[in-house]
Amino acid sequence: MLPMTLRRTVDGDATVVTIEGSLDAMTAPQIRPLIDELASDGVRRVVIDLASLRLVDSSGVGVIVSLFKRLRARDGELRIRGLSGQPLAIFKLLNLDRVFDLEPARH
Amino acid sequence: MKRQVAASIEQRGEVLAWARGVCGRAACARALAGLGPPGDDLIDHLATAVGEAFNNAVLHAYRGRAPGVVELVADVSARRVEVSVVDHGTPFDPTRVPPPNLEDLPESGMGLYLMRRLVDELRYEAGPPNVIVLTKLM
Repeated sequence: MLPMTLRRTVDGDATVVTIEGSLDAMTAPQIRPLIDELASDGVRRVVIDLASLRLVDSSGVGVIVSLFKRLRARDGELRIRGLSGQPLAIFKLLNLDRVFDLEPARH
Repeated sequence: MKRQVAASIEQRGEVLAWARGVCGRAACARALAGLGPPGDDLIDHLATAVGEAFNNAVLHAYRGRAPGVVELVADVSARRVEVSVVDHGTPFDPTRVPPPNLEDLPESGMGLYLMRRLVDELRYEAGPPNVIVLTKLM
């Protein structure tokens, strides 16, 4: 079973959320408290670093979309960093590569 | 190839590992037939679709019911992989599930849509048992 690790850091005026491993029906619920925390902290600029995300399913996509919509409601901004492989393919199937600001991974 | 797992989301990893094994069997079948390897997307597409079907069985078919099992059955040939995901829960009618409106940025209800996009043919047989058959051509 591919686990998920989650990290929250700060980069300038942006909060970086790094998600590694698999974001799916089993692990996606673990993201919800963080999304609530970002909302209660008034965070408006978020970068989700997915460079080490290997697998995503529709549940995983759903939590990212949920974060995006909550940020958008506060005139916030969400960028997705390092999307590749299977996760990128799934985002493209759902037309989310046209919705989210995608940026390459940082090395 | 057959496998039976508990209808628990914690079994997702086992299901995906099994699906990858099916793809390995498909690669062998093609090699034995003197054909080149399957496309790079076979593993990702088939495993993801099987994972979504499993999610649906656990989260929808068995919702409100006693814990059950999900059976996985694969039929592999040199040009085709067919995976059946079998549950003994509540059946549904996939023809009554509208496709998600992607412009509305849905947060749920995308599993069946993804399955249809990831495989070449999707068939559902309401039971019991209920069987969703995913076919990927190579």
